[in-house]
Amino acid sequence: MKAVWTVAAQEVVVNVRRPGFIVMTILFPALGLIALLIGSLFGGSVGQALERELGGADKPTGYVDLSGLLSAELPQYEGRFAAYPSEGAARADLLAEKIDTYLVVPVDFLANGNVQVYGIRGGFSTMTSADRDRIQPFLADHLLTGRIDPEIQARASGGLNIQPVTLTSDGEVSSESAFNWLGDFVLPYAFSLLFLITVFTTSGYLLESVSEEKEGRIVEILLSSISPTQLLAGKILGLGAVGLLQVFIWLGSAVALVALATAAFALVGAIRFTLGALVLFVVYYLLGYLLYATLMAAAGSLGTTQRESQQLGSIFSLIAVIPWMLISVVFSNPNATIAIVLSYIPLTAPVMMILRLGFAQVPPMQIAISLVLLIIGLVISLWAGAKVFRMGILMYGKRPGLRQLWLAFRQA
Amino acid sequence: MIEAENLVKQYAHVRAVDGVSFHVARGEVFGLLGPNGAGKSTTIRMMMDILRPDGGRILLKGHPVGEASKAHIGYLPEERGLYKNYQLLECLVYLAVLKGMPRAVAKERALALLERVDLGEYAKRKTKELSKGMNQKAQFLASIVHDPELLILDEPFQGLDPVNTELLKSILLEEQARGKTVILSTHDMNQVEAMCNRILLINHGRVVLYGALDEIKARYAEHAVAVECDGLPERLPGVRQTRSVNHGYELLLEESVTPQAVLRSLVETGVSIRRFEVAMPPLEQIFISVVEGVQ
Repeated sequence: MKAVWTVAAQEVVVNVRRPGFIVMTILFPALGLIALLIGSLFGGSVGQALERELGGADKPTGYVDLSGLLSAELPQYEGRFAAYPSEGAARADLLAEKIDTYLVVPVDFLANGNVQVYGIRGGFSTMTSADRDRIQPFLADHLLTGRIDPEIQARASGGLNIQPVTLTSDGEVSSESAFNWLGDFVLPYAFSLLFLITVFTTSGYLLESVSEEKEGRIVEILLSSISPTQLLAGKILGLGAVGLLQVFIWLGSAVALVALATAAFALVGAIRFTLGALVLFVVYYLLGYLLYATLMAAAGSLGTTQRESQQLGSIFSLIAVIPWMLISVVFSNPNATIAIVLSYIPLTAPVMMILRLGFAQVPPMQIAISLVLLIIGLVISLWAGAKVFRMGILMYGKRPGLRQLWLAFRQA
Repeated sequence: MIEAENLVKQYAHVRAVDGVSFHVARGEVFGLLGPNGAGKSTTIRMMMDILRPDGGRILLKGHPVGEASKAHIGYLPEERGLYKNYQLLECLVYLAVLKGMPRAVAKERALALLERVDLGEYAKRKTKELSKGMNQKAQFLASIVHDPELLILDEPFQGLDPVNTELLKSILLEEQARGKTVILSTHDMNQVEAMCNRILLINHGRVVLYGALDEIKARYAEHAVAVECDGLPERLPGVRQTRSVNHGYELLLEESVTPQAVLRSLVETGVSIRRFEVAMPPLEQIFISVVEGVQ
């Protein structure tokens, strides 16, 4: 067992210092940060939150009321909006950068709702300030004050809180709540992508490390110290830890990014995964990793060169992406026959189930069948993969043909 | 030290090893010889528990070989390499730790050995930056860094210049002096003659020669003497045939004649003799005649 840990620790040390690993690990949080920044420039409240963070909102937004419909400036908007008697005065302050933007409420506002937003930097900064979420309540309050019941006014300017409810076919209120963009689409999508990426990078590293040892003729020296099974187990554990480390870094940075934007992005509320679903994610993730790692190690041990091994390994990668290629089908009908079938096939089950679990409620029976089949597939692949590994890893020269493979397989 | 009893290994259609038995005593340098494809590598892999025999058994210090015995053996396979992207020291330490040596001890010993073979300054260099000869030396070190009791070396001097060959040989002989046992597999018969006490020659998976090197050579010796001198008289009493060999002659003697008698008559002829010895066939010749004789 000590040998297994030695191999595992070595694999961790060697792989976390790979440039490829470092780049990949940093790339995703970096992309997330960039996406958040861009999103904040385009989008509503995130933008404001960040704008306040960055000090951009220190300057009020000017407005010029040509329609004569707006009430006198309300105290609750003081500091954020500033009234100007004429467009000329507002323009002068804008050019002097005393304000960021100014709005013009034209004479015919009541007829068509047009509001012009003037800014000097153009593009994103104008659009940020032009954002509906800020202007709408301001206009609503200034239009309605003194004209209607304050409570009604508060509702009109405070906006809606839409609560979708789904009915099942027999008219009951479904326990799963209705569609939610983030929880229903982005998260399963992101989780399955995360699964694919980490499983394939780590099992790809595994394949590489096996074929490096074979091609570099190190393996016989290793096998003179430990058994093939110990070598295989150490590698699978070590690279699994590398994959998990990557996932943790990604998740950690995701949490940090969310915290950064938390004022606006009610992400936590949007994650509707139950604890059960999360546990299932982890289970599918681990089983899926073990299955693919074993297969990749076997592929790595068979090729005579890394290139040859990678070609063999890519067969498995292609199979694993099938559910992802069918994502639109799964999304529109998570319980389509093809989706059910693919969640029973061990090679496609992990990705397919992670997608389905995110998109809809999966009948427990199907989860049970899928897990049992996946575990059976895993046991078979561990058994056969270890055999192929034992045999393939010392076969130099020609790549064994199917016949040779079978003969040796029966003996190994 | 290690003992093989009636080893058999069957591949799909070939019996690679067929009833091989031998034993190697502690402190010996033992030669494991045979032509290509004779079953040497298979035999060695069975000793290392990399392959399991289909018949027979191998005992290391009286216990069947297995995972536990691997730590006591240092193995330099014929097909060998090091991690290209590891630093030399890191690579040696990792391989020693896998054998169960504590990391700190392994590091200390690896550094000392690197100094010993003039690779001290390359300890932090990646192995792919080393020359072929340096890599060969490093691979040799990888087989002894964990201080094993038994060394199994397959062509250890392959690709080394005479200076480095001597260096590694002297390290091996030191190890032997410290009570270590060495099994040497090589095609270089001169090295075998220079180093081995006993040999095993296998061909087609079977033992064809086994025993002390001197005894085997004596068994194959013709009744002959080797002479180096200036010119040879045309006829010498008791000599039935004269052959010219490098720098001298080989005289085949009649049954009843002793080498001493021939020496006496040579001295009487007055030729100046630089060398006179009872002729032993070179191992290489025995190897060739035995292997070809079987075929």
